[in-house]
Amino acid sequence: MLLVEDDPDMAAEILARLRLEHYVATHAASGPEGLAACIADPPNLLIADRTLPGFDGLALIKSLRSEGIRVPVLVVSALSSVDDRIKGLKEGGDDYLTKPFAMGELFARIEALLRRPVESRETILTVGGLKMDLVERVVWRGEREVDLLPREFKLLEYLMRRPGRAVTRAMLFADVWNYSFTPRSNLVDVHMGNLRRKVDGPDEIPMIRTVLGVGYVLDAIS
Amino acid sequence: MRFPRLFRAAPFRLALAFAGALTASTIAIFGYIYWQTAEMEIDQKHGYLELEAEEAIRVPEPLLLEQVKTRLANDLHCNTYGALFDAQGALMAGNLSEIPRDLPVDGVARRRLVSVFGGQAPQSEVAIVVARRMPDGSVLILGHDFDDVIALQSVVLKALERDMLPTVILALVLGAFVATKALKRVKTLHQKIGQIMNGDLFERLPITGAGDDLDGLASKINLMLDEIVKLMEEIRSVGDNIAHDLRTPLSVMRARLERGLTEQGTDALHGTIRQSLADLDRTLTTITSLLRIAEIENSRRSCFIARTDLVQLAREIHELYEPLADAKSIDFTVVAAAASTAIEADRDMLLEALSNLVDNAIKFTPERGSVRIEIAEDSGVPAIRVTDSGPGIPAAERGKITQRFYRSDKSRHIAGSGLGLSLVAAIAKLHGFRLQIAEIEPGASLGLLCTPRTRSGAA
Repeated sequence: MLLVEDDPDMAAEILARLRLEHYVATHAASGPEGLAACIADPPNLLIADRTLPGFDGLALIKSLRSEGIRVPVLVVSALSSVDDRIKGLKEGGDDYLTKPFAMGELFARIEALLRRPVESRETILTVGGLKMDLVERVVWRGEREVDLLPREFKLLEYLMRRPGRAVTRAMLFADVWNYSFTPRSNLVDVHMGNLRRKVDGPDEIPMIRTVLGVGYVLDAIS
Repeated sequence: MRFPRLFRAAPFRLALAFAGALTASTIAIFGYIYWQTAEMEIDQKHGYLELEAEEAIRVPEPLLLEQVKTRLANDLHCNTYGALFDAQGALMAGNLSEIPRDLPVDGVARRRLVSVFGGQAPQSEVAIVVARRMPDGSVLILGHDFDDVIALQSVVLKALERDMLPTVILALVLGAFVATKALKRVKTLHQKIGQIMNGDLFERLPITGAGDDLDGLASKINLMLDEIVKLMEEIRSVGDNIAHDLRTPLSVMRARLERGLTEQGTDALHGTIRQSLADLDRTLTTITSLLRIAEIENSRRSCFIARTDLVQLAREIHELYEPLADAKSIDFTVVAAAASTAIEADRDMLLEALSNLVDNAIKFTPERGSVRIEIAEDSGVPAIRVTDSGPGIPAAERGKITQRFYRSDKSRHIAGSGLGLSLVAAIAKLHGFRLQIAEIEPGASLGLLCTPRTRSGAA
């Protein structure tokens, strides 16, 4: 993957963490440099700062798209997401992360972009012992039927489409609730708590796991 | 510099225009008077001459000859003409050399060119003349010159001249006086504004009390300055508060990290780091919230304004916060007067505002309390209101709670950045809505009065 970031300290920190997580990452320090690197060797993922010397991250994406390079892009910026153009960007399937961010958040987003859930036509999702019927809108844990509220159903569906991968509270908020703002983080925790109590019975092995400092993972346990 | 400025002053130009108009109207009035008087004078002469000629018929010829002579002899100013011609047209007596060719002998007075015996050769002069045949066949001509009318003309012109000059001068002097006075006021305003621009923000523009438009302008500017000063003080206190709010956790963090250096063992070190990270996150959240408020306050955008249903919005927020309310056993309900209440708003922003109000309400309401979202019309204006049974907002603090970082003394122990209501206020302001804090006891009730936007633009 390619990181386009003009602040050397920030770049060094992100690169060090990426390598620690066994990602192969290269670095460019400006818009033109990033564009050249992308054209020379298209990466699997582009992490671009919003404000860059030369031309900014959004212009970089535009140039890439006009070159026909369909690499997923994660825009990182100190500006928050009120900007109208960001809404357009998110609709294009790419992601946007506001500085400051936790590294856990960054990795969750990277994973989400690298392994986008396949939009399957299947009407039944299965993760470990958990089965979800999208048409009948019923969920079973083994033989036990799990009674869920509509929002809890959506939450679980989101998790089941990304088994084994960490999803952050901000991601849940943006994707399940479709809100552009982030309310108090424990709000998501309360909803997840309710969902967890229903999915993981008292004598069952817990499937929903909290990842400290990141969010939640649904493990494929039967 | 003074004179050109005087001439450029609007009041002076106005005075100049006024003087011009005055001159024109005076000329018109005098012209009319002159015209009317002259007309009357001429009419009168016509009448007299015709009457005189009429009466001459009854006078026997020798006497008439005498009368013509006497008439001319008595006319010291040589204003009148008179002549008697015999039936053949030969002059018998008088000061006219011949009967004017274009004068019909019918006793009607006319304006004609006549040739007059002066001292030497005959002269042509314009006069009002009447010719009448006498019973014996002779022709009597009587006439009067225009000297009277010309004299009248000169009198009128002189009066005009005498009157005009003072009028124009008076208008100009008055204009200059008014302009100087206005300029003087403008100059003081200039000076004061200069003073204010140089940083003396507590200086105010003088109000003369005349209640004129300059006074109105000055008082408006003064109000604007009051608002600016208020905002500046708010910003200053925000700056102080930011420094204070950030310094405290940063100091704690610094102390903890310093201690971490002496720490033995990875677990203890990790604990220190984790705590420091949590502190750091808190400070970063504060900064993010501040930036977000600034962003909303600075944004003039209205492209996401669309029809939004308040009831649906309330139900959504209710669904979002219900688990949180349940956890505190709070009775959390939505009360809507109608099935739907549509307003024009940016849905996302309104959700954010409402979520902040509900968040606050749940946060401050003790266990087993109640929180209610109400949608109703407040004198025709759609309103959404969040009422709780918490400690409430003391009357003295109601004006301050939307200020950044303001935290009620009662709530200092409850976690929060003190920025939530500032955000709500900023969103309300962007929409042109009003954030209302109702006076209820006990508890608190905050609402948005969703005044419909005028189509002219953003509020």
